[in-house]
Amino acid sequence: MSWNQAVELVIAAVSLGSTYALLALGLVIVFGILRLINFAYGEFLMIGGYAMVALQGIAPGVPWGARAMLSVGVVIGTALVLERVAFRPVRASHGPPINLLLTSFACSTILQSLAMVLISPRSKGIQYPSVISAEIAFGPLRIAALDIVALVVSGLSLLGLVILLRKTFLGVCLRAAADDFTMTRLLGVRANRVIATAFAISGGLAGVGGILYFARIGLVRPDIGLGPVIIAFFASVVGGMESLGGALIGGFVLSFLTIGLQAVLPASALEYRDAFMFLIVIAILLFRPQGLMPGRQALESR
Amino acid sequence: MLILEDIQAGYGSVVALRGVSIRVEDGEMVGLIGPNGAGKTTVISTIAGLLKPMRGQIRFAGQELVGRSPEDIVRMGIGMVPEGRRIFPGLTVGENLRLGAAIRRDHSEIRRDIGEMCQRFPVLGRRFHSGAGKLSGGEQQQLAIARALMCRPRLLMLDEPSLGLAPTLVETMFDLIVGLREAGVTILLVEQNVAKTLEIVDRAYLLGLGQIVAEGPPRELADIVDIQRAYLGGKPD
Amino acid sequence: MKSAIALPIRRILWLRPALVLAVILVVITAGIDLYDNVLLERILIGLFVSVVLVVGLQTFTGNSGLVSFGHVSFMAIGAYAAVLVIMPPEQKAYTLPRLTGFLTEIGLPFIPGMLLAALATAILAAVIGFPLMRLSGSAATMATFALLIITHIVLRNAEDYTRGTRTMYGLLPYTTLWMGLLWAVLAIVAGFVFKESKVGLMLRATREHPEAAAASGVNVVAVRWVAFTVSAFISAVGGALYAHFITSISPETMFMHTTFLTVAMLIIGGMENVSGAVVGAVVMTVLFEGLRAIEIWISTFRTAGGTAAGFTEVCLGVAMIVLMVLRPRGLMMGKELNWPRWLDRAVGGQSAGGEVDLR
Repeated sequence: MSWNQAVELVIAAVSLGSTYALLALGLVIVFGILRLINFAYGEFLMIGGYAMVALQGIAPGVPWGARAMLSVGVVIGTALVLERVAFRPVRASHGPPINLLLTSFACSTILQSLAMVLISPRSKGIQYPSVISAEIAFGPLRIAALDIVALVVSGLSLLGLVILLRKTFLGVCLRAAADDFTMTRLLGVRANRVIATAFAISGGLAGVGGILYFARIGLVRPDIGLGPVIIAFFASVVGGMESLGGALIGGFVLSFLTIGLQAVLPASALEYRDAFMFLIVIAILLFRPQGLMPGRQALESR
Repeated sequence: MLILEDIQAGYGSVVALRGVSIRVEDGEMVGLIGPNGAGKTTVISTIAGLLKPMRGQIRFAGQELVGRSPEDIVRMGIGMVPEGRRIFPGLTVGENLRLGAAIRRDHSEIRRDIGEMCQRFPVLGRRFHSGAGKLSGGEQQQLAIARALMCRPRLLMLDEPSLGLAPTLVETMFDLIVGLREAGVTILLVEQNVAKTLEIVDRAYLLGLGQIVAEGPPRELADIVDIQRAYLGGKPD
Repeated sequence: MKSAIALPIRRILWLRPALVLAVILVVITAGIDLYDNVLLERILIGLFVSVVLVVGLQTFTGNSGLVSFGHVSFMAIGAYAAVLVIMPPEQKAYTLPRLTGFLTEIGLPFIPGMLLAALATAILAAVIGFPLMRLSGSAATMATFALLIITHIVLRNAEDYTRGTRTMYGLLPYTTLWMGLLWAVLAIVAGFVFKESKVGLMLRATREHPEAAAASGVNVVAVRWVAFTVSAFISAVGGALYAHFITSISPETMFMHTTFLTVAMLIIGGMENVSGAVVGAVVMTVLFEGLRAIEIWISTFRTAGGTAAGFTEVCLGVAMIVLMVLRPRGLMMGKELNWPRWLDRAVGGQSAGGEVDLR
């Protein structure tokens, strides 16, 4: 492999990793506070995709950027509705934590099935500005415009998130809730508001991450969410489910593994690429159950 | 100010408190002492709204507390320094303090209070921007108390503030608590350190196996505790 | 009664809930067999397969408190392994043409083949479980999820053995009504025996208070590992039964959807004991089939060639959430099924009619 090819691959991996990191962050935000792995997260992306499809049908005159932002809003709304209607009542019934997991599974099924019944089980195409598929030359290197856009968008989103978490009072509340949820309640911070906010942020990240994710495949299906949620899940796990920096690390580890294995594996073993990747993930979990983020203690048995 | 009447509370099928009645008057410092497992933390948890009692009433300044959420109870003027301090390690000292005033909206006053806390507890001022997890045990305890004071509570509950502190620090801690009382805060102090507690409180309750075994001024209780030690051998804590 | 009869009967008393469940299932089976309705029979067989799967999951998750998403992978492995040893060689020649080795030559009868496959799966689970059981609660759950996905990928790609993503057709319908009943009852008994065994009791101690249990000398990792292996065996049996009931399998049919349903059955019924697992399977099956019937009826009204496909899942999901809110500990709420007290007194004079639930 030539030097140029290697650099191009690295750039592709970094861009993909930034998208994965966004997705992982959306999952970790909710996990950090509720200790809940939201399996319906993939369906957040699906809804974003269908919102794009609906908008391009209803309002083709509206600029693409506005449509994209509206679809992110739809995802945030969905996340809030789900929290209020499904998760909050189950939480309030004080059952074992596994009930919340099952709730997220149930929501995932409900949303997917609703899409199948009300829309269609078949794929629908999502329009993107044609500039996305262009390739730009930087000297001897050829880089996809999509990669640059993805990096910029992810970077800005991440910046926004960091500002929210570090510089606002809301962010302080969220971080405190992730440390010790009960204690924040004992200081008067309303539990329901914190959780709703976390879901909203999760929805926002899913919406933006979804737009970047769909840019690579161009279509949406009811079951499209499974891929992203698995990626987000494993990226979070590798990074350490409790930390946002960890989600970042996890996203990049996964993207580098994906692209690296793709480039390095012999053709016969290529189909097993994903299997290898997950085996490596399990190995990481076994050696460092707290994830790769430095300075973290192992998750206690919950 | 605070009245518990015949409280029965527990966890699932385990009944931890069987008919506990306590009162704390305005401006008093009341102690709640007893051995491990007697139910002291359960009393605090029930008042704070973390636990719903199976029976009984709790009134604070005339208002019923039972059934209210912890968030509401804080807003009524009850602050708490829980067992084990429970400061937020991922936040800075300053952020911890700011969070203490979560229920308040008067921002300039909040800033003033934070400044005041840093004066009262100089170590907090020095470490204002450090992560709270990096503080020592004694420093964290001060942070926990300062944080609880940030909401300007009418009643402050402290759950075993001396736990895990080195003996020299224990002395400082109790001086601190006396200082709080002199500043006019009503205090309910839960402790295992019987001797030191009886030195500073106005009145105390002795809790044993979920029931109030004795109550009264420190001198009376000290006698009872001595008798207990004589009969049962060993210290009650 | 102090005669020698009392002692063996006391032993049986200990198995009360399992007996109650078994008797109920036998009665239902006999009834449906006599009624002779093919659809009902198929529903019942499906229920029996579900019972085996949910009891398998319960044996691990219910007793240890560790959520496992990986047990359907044992179902899948058991299913494919069973097919590989049971399918007659002539059939294998054209179904799995690239298969090599001794597998091409054997074609065991159903039960030995199934048990062999389950044993192989259990051994695999023992090997995998060894490092996995040392992980803490959340990490273990994530690892089992990873296991589910890895198994799925491997099965999808091992085309020589599994036909890859393509469906494997033409499996012989060994799982009849009474075969299904037999293994459902055996699974229930096994689950119950495990729960009440020494290992089971130690494991359940770790469920609520792991540190206290460890301090009392319980080897937490070891008891979890045993439960993991045993539950994998049961799940594999379920997989083999499934394969020879539906008579066609593919990796997709034993993946996320099945995991969701199995976990749902366990939680809805109550994960703390075997009765919960069985009740959950029954309730969900009834709900599912009822909703499905309604969906089909609705489809006859929908114009423009649409079915109401998806209606069942939506209603099922909503029903699950409602049930969880109403009964957070599951329908059984931690109590085992039991027989009436007069039977207790008639048989052996044990005064307590109910089981002390250790939760």
